[in-house]
Amino acid sequence: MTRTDAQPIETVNAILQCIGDAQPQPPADLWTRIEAAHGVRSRRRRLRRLAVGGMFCVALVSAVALHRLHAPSAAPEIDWQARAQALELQLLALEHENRVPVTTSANFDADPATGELAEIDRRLQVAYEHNNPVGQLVPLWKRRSELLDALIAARREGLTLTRI
Amino acid sequence: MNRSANSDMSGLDTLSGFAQIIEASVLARAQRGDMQAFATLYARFGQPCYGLALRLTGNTAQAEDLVQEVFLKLIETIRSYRGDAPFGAWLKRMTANAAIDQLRRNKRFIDADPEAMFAAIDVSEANPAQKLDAAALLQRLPPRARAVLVLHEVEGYTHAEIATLFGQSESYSKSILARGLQRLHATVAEPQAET
Repeated sequence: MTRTDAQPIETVNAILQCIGDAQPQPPADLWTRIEAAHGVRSRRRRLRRLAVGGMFCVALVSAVALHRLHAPSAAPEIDWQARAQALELQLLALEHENRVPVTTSANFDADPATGELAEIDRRLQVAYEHNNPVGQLVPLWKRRSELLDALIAARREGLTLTRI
Repeated sequence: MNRSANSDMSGLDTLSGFAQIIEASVLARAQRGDMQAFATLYARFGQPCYGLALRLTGNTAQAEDLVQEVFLKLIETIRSYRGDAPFGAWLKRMTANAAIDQLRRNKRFIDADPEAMFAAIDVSEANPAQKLDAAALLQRLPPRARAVLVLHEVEGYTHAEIATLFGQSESYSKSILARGLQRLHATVAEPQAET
């Protein structure tokens, strides 16, 4: 290597040494800017978390509301059969007390006011004979309860129920 | 080097900057999210971090952005620091990675072949004053070549490490370095030929 060739190499080495030795100073306010940027990021992250949390809560509340709307009620099921039987006893007691001819299953058909009650009884009888599922019996027992309710109310007011 | 022409290039020893030992209590406080502890870390390592960022990017604005990015990342990730390597080395690696990520984001530098990369910068444009200024001379190199040269010649990275950082082969790193050095030699030799 000639002297002229060596000179640039030495110069380059000196430059690289110089670059390695130099320690430039960052701007005095750089840390302040970093802190500020961190603050902004933290706030954004917090807002994002809040938004996500809020959306999750809304979704959760909506899901619960939808579930309550569509799912079968969590309230205890009414035993319509037992209720109908209790109401029937109540009706018998009321009629006995008021000396009104007793409304029994046997004379339901004779009284037009209790015709529907007799029809329900017939349908119930058929359903039991055919071993129909409970799901089909419940509406009948429920309707029977409603009819007995109305009949009791009418008897209390001394009215004759012609149509329920 | 014309230090008066570049007031950034003055002062302390960059390499020793990252070699500083940090107290375990400061690290523990930082890992608990204490911003005062981060301020202490910045007071110790902000300068070497900025120095490395500036050498790698050759641009003060980019270097500032890089330091900001590195310290923001540090605040978020310091909990993952287990002390397997000295803290300064960990931070230095983080800075180099951030600088290279910045270069990699700039597709026009990554996708260019070395020949085109060097051809894009005309060495003859450098004036004699710039040829004596180390920082200005580095500016005569394409960004990626400057980063490879600084990492290998100044920061002591191996070609294997540089290749990993850039996602390239070792021979590619060697090629870029050789061309970078050649370019520097040519730039420095030019005024001597003129005189």
